[in-house]
Amino acid sequence: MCSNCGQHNDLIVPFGSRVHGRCQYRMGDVPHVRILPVNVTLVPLLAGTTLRSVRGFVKWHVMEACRSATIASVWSRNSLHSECTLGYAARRARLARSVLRAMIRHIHSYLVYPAKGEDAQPEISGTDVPLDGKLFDMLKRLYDEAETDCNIPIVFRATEEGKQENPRRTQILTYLRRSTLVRGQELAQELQSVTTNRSGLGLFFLIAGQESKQHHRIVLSRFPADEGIVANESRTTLKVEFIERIFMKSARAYKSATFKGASLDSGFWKGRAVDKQISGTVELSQYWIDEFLLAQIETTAAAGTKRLAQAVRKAIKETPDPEVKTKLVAASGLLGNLGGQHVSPESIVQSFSLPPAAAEAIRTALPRPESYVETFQFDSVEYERELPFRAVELDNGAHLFADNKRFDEVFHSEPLDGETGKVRYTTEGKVVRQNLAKRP
Amino acid sequence: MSDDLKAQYEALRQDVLVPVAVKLEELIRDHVRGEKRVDRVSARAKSIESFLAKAARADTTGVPKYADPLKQIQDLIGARVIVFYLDDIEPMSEFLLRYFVPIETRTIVPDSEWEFGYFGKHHIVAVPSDSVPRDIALDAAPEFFELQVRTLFQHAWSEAEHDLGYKPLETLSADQKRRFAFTAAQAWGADRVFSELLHELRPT
Repeated sequence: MCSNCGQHNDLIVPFGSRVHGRCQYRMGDVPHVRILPVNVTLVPLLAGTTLRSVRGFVKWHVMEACRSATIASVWSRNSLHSECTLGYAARRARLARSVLRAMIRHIHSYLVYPAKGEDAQPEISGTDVPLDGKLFDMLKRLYDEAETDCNIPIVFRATEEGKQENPRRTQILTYLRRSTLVRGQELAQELQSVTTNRSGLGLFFLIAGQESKQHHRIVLSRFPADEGIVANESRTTLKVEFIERIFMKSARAYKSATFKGASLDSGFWKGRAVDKQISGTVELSQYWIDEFLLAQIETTAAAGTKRLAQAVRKAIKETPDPEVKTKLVAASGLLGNLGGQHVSPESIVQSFSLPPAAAEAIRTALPRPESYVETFQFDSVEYERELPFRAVELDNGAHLFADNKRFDEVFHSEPLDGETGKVRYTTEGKVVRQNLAKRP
Repeated sequence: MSDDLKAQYEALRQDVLVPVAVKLEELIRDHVRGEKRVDRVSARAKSIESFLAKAARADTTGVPKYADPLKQIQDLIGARVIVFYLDDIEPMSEFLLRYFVPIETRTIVPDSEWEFGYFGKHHIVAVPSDSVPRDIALDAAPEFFELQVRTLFQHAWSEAEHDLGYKPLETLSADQKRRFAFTAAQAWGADRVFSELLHELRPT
């Protein structure tokens, strides 16, 4: 029984679908999730229907491989007649593409000029991108990989008055409800109005998709314009030509964000973003997340820094390897200089060239493995609040204690030749205080 | 409300919300360690009764407010930081928001200046991944929780009112409502006087 219209109990409602196909159309649901009639007279319609699970989303697809399937074959997982399976392999790639395409419902693209602060905004031209062909294949990869590519969890901001409203989120939801070129253009205009000359011309993509019957997802991505040379080689000649306005998705030259949610009436407050336009660093341009998306990084500077500091402290304490311990201690003294930079534990391990064992010690010491790649803005004040002092204990009973950041300036250490592990610490200064304590 | 929803919430509460609330309390406690005039920190998962009551709410036209209460209700976990004085609420809120990202901030006051009732500062903030135990998938944890900052008197009034008067106000008699308002006014007055004393005795 269809829960939308309450009719047609002669329909099979597969796998939790509770509405007719036509009702789903009306409700804006995935059109290709079909509710199939049981009536055997409709076998031609069912012919070759096969059940596939794509990322956990059960879909029904009509294949042309078989025109004489029976109901039994329709409902079995192996839904093709044996004689038809020969043709199946040949059609598999095409079927796989159609299945994948089914997850993306609309792609729109817009040319976005830098027009921050300009009263007269340039007109934006946009186009519907066909759900087929090489461009689609590339954008499909972008869509599929967005959740791993976008490694920075973000949250839409509340209004200044603290209300749970965010104009960009509203525009995104409006677009997802009915993904039209015009509705997408509103988002493109917002991007244009915050794009500076430094960021330059860009090609903006909106990819609306459906993860499952109820899960909607959107990917917003901006490719910067570049210049390049095209080389055309014939048998005897090579022709090279300069071209402008190439839009490339290279590992270091695009911005992207993805949001998903179960309902278009609520949720969609959290998402993930990435900004790789600035070469060589994980630096985020303020304009993509803050000014355009009206969002903020979910891991605040204080929270991310504190988490890192605690992980470093725990890693130093728990690692059994003295060499790893020494490297981590040395790194901890330098971390305080990263103030204001966007970092992740992973990027810190790389930039300090810490050995794999030290990386593993930090990863294990973090509260969750996901935290290892999470980006946040380093907060030096929070770091010093969390790891203010460094203490070194020697086997002769000495305890050295100093400001973590300045420890290596205050104490000079030198390894003693021929004495494995033995070091000499020296320091100079006036005694300003002496006291007794329970522990250093 | 269906038994199905109750069973789902019971399972979610036991398997996810309670462990996350425990970690959240530890996390907030760690953040406020060393901060002055913090009386206590607590975090807890919404009770089954409170959840079902909230899930059953409808708007003025009778349409259920929550189509998917398990996903849409944002205070399945509530955390409180109780501070001594009114003057501590704003600084403590600001301090906590250095660590948590809000999508809503409300200062709750009674509807009219002639009324007394609950006062408090509430934030809906993102559940940090740190507070989700490793054996629970991040997707399974709620996205948000409610973070309240209250004074001792606001907290005391609210707890007693919740215990005695947790029923629709319409079912209370006029005299009972007036007495609840009186106790709220007493708590409000005590907060005001302590605030004045604080300014007089410890001017900054």
